[in-house]
Amino acid sequence: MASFEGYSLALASMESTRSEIDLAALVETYSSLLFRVAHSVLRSRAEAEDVVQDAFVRVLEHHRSLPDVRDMRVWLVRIAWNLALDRRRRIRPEQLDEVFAGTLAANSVPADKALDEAQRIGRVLREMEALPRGERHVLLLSAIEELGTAEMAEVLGRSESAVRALLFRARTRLRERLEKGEIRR
Amino acid sequence: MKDSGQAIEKVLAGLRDAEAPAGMERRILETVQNHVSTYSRWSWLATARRRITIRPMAYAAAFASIGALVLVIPAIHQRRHAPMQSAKAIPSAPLPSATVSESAGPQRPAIIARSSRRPKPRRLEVVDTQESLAVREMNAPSRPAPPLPLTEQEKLLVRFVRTSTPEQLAANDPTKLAEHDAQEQAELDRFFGRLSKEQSAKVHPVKDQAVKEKPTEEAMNKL
Repeated sequence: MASFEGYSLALASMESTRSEIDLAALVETYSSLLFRVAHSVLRSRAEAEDVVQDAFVRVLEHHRSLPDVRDMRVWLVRIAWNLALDRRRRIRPEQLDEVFAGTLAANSVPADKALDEAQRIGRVLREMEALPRGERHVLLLSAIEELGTAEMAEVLGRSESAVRALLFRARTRLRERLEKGEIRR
Repeated sequence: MKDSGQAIEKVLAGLRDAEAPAGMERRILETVQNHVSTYSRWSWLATARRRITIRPMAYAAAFASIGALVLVIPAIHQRRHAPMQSAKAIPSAPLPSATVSESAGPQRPAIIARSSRRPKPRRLEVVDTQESLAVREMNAPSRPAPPLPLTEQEKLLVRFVRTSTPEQLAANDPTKLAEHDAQEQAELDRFFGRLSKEQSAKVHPVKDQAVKEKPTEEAMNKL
C-alpha cells in the first residue's frame, strides 16, 4: 500500500474546507468498493478506474457538504454509480462486454472450452442489459454483495421492499430468457 | 435450467470479484492532488463569485466606481499636463527655417523622436522623409504670424511722431488746425480777390476777343 502521508498533509493544508475529512483515508477505504460498483456497470477496469477518480474529484468539489453527509459509504457509492451510468451512455458497451466475457471465461475454464464459455457469458450479459432498468440496476448492485438491501435502496432511491421485489423479478426474468434462448438453439 | 443459473452466478461472481488495478489508489490520489492545486489556484475566483452572488448590487456599484476612477483619473492627469508641455515646447522647438532646410536635404529615412519628453534611443523610429516632415510640421510650436508692412499713412504718422517736437505734437489739435486753415484760406482769397481786380483792370480789352473765341471751342467739343 502506498504511503499517503504526503497527500494527507497536502489536503490538510486546505483549511478553508473547514472539514476534517481525510481524503487519503477515504480513498484507501472506499476505492475498491467504488471500483467494483463502477465495474459492474462498465465491465472495464480502465473505465471503472476513471470513474473512481472522478468520484473522488467530486468529493473534493463538494467538500463543504461533507459534514452533512449521513452515510459516507452510500453517498460515495451513489456518486460512482451515477458517474458509471453516465459513462456507459457515452461508450460502446458491447465491445467491453465481449472483452470481459473472454477474460472471465479464460480464467474459469480450460483454453479449449474458453470460446464456448465466453459466448455463454456474453449471452448472459446481453440478457442482463435487456432487462428493465430497475431490475437491471438492482441485479448489478446485488452482485457486489457488499451492499445490503437498505443501502441499495438508498442508492437507487427506492424502498427496501421494492428492491427485494425487483431483485427477485430480475433473476427470474433473466433465467427464463436464457432458458428460452437455449431451447431455440 | 441449471446451466442458466450457473451462468448467471458466474457472471455475478465475476463482477463481484473484480479487483482494482495495482496502483489505482496512488493514481487517484495524484489526480486529486493535481485537482487540489488547481482548485486552490482558482479558489479566490470561486470565493469572489459566491460573494458576488450574495450581494450583487454592492459589488456592481463597487465595480462601476472603480471603472469610473480608471477612466477619470487619466483624463484629469492629461488636462493638467497638456498646457505645461506646450509651454515648454515653444522655446526648445526648432525654427521653421531649419525644418525647411532639413527637409530639402537628400531623400533618406530620417530618425525622429516620438516624444520630446523622453528622448531615449529605444523610442526612435525610422520613418519616411515626407512623413518625417509632416510629423515635424505637426509638432512645430505655433507662433504669431509675421507683421505686415506699414501703409504710407502709417509710415508718415510714424515719421511725424518720431521727428516732431513735443510742442509740434501738442499743436496738432484739429480745432487749431482748422482755424489756421481758415485763416490761410481767408488770406488767400483776399490776395486773389485783389489780384483779380487788378488783372481785370489791365486785361479788359482782351476780354472781347476771348468771348469771340469761345463759340469756336464749343463747336470743337460738339465735333
